[in-house]
Amino acid sequence: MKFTNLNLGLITLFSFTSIIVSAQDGNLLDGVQIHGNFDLYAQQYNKDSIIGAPIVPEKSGVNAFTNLIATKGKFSAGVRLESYIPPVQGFDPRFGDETIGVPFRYASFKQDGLEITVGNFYEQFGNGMILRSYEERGLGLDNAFDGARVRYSPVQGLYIKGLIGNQRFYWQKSDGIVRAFDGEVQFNELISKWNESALRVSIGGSFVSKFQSGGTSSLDLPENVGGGAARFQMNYKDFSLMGEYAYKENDPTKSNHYIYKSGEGFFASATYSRRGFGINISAKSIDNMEFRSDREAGFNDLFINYLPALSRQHTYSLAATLYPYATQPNGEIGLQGDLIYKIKKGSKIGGKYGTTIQLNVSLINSHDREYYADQDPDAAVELLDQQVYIPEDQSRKGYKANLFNIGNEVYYRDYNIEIDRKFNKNFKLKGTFAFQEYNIELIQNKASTNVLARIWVLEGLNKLSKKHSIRWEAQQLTTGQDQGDWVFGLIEYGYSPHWIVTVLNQYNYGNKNKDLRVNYPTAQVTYIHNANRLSLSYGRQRAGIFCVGGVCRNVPAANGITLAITSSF
Amino acid sequence: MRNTIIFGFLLLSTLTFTVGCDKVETPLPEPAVLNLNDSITFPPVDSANLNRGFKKTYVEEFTGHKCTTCPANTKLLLAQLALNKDRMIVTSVHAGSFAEVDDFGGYPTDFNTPYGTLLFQNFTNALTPIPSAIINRRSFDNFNNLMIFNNATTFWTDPINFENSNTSADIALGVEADFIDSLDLFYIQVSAEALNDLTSTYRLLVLCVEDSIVAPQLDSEADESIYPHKIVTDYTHRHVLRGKLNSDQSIAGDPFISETISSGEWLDYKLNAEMPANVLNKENTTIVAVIVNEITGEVIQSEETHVHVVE
Repeated sequence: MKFTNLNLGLITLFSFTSIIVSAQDGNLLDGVQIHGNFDLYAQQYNKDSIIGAPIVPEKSGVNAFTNLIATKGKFSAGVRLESYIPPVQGFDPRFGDETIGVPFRYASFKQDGLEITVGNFYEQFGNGMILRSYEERGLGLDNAFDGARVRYSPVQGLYIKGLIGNQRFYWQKSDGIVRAFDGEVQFNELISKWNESALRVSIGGSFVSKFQSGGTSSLDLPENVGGGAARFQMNYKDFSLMGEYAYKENDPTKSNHYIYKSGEGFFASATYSRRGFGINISAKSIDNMEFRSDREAGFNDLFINYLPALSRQHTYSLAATLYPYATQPNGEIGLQGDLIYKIKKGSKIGGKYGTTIQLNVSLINSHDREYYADQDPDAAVELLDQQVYIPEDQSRKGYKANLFNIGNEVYYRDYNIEIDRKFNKNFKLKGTFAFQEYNIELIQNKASTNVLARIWVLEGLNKLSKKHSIRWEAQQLTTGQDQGDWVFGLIEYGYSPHWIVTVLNQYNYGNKNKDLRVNYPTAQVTYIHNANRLSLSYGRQRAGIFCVGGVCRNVPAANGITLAITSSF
Repeated sequence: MRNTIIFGFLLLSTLTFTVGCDKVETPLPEPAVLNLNDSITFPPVDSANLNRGFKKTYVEEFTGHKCTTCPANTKLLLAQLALNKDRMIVTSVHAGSFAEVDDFGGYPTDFNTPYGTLLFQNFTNALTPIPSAIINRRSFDNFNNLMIFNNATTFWTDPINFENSNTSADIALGVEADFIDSLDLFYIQVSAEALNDLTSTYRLLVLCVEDSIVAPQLDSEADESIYPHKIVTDYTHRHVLRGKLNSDQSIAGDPFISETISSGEWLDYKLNAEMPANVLNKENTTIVAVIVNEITGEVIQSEETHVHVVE
């Protein structure tokens, strides 16, 4: 199924403006607003075998995006042009099947609580455990729907949505069709007596179904796979509580070894927050909840749902890109706690400007599973992969698992503390320590025991004058596994409001292979002017993993120039 | 208006719920119980008759009864087979749109098999012209690195000739097959002798092929005065794949060699299986045994035998 081409997208936008033109009297384009943005990321590649940089015949890669959105009154329409000449390394080469095209275009109409969208759109029900389509450009992830969506609010406080469509699959569309329905009641809006109540309550429910032909498999594959979710949220003064439970019927896929077990997911989060203090505890358990519109899809392709991450999104390089956790949709159980406390300013410990302490703990394990086909999970999975009749598991449920039975296998541990203190008007210091245990065999498919890593980070900001500042980072990661120890240093000079010059280096000084004790220096210049940002850097890029919200992609090693431009209008 | 929209939503949600889910209780039917007779022995493979001198050329030809250029190309393939009958094995796999049954169009015979379709989907895509052939399921670096051959690329004659010229083999293979009519069962024995030390994993594929099935075929070379619309109603289809006899769903068959095997080691594989229901004349059936490298997917040896029907 070929995806929309450039002409089709532009036709959408021009048709929309034509409709406005033909439907109005007088100056027809009055009130039409056009806005959008532009985003370009380009890399040039040099040969660098020591860091394992792949040889790129084109010697460069460019990803470019432009959004154009036209709105007038109740109407809006938009297109997104994308260009990959060829895709930047680390992005799926299938993006390069077309050098330029319009994978996203839509027209929308909104009136009296009714909103109709035809074309491409993104949507999320609740936390996304049963349906979420979104774009995360940094991951090369875009599972937008192409079809139709209706949102309607018949009365204040009652919101219903329905949609049908195929999902984006690079420059094509998925074979599977997704149909979905969601309803939500905001009681404080619906019941006028509760409008001002401190207790705010909402509930919601969704049903999602996908259709995909069963093909010629010897298995009797369910062509229609349904799933549903129920959720609630309540807030009372400084306290909030939310929860969601999702269920999916038999959905044999390549990823779950074609088992017919139903999937389940549970997510709950409680937060208490007042001035200077906040605490959040979240719990999640998911089992066989990978839900895609194509049962053969892999990697980050064609996900219908999104499983919220229960690990901290680190921002410092060594913590963020060496051992970041990727959500395991086929099963995991976890708990995360976050505590933020600001020691009062003027106190003995807090100092003149106060001190903020943040504690975070993530614990993620396997489920306790009992396979039907064989006691040894590997042998059982091998039998399932052979797709043979298994007398002990005639209905191919695969395994027995309780959503709340914790297994022995540690997937991830992250204990971290961050202390942030402003010493005077011109100097601020932030210290972070993290201890991570990381199941590298599961997440990165590397044969190894779990990685135990300790990470220290110190970040300082010195304001030299009103316009001049220096920011610096010193990081160290120590581990006896994988690539061993790393250090990272960064100095950034800011000349407000336009210029930032950064020099950084990371060094794998603890690599057991002395030949791989390599430096990764980079220098970068950034220019910012209003809504335009341009940065140019040169250096080595370390191979690693880039994750957003528990969804990850591999970043290959590279040596060369990187150019990034963003602009909005 | 509001009521219409609410009604519409209710209708949509009801439809979504009702069409939304198929519950499957038994994904794979329980295999039929084979009524074996222990007193019947598997036909032995005579080690003296094994071919040790070369790798046979196993050709899988993708074709269809509505493929107008297929007969001409099949003719060339059969001519090549006739000249190299000890070195070549041919299986005709009817699959894809050209193999669809079309009662009204004059093509009532269903030559499709689940395994053939799986194979076709695995090796071809929407742009692959038919007829096509794969040769020992490998690509040929001396033929533009191609794996699938047809008139749009390199035709299959030269790569087959190239493959027929090899003078060594990693494994020698023999197959014997009895069909016990009273039990409606095959008793098949495959034996192999390693000719070199092998360290990879290999699978064994056992196929049932039926020869000389008379059924309509579109043929661009047919005389329209005899065959209106060029549909040759009495066309003889050769070497037609009727089914895979291994129970394993892999396109490469059952696990056969999973550990290191040394030169000179001998392996036996025994299989009982029912005659595929689509076979029209069991006297015309042959059993094809194929050893496939599980890692590379390449065929390393193949052998065939005519089925001996025991009344």
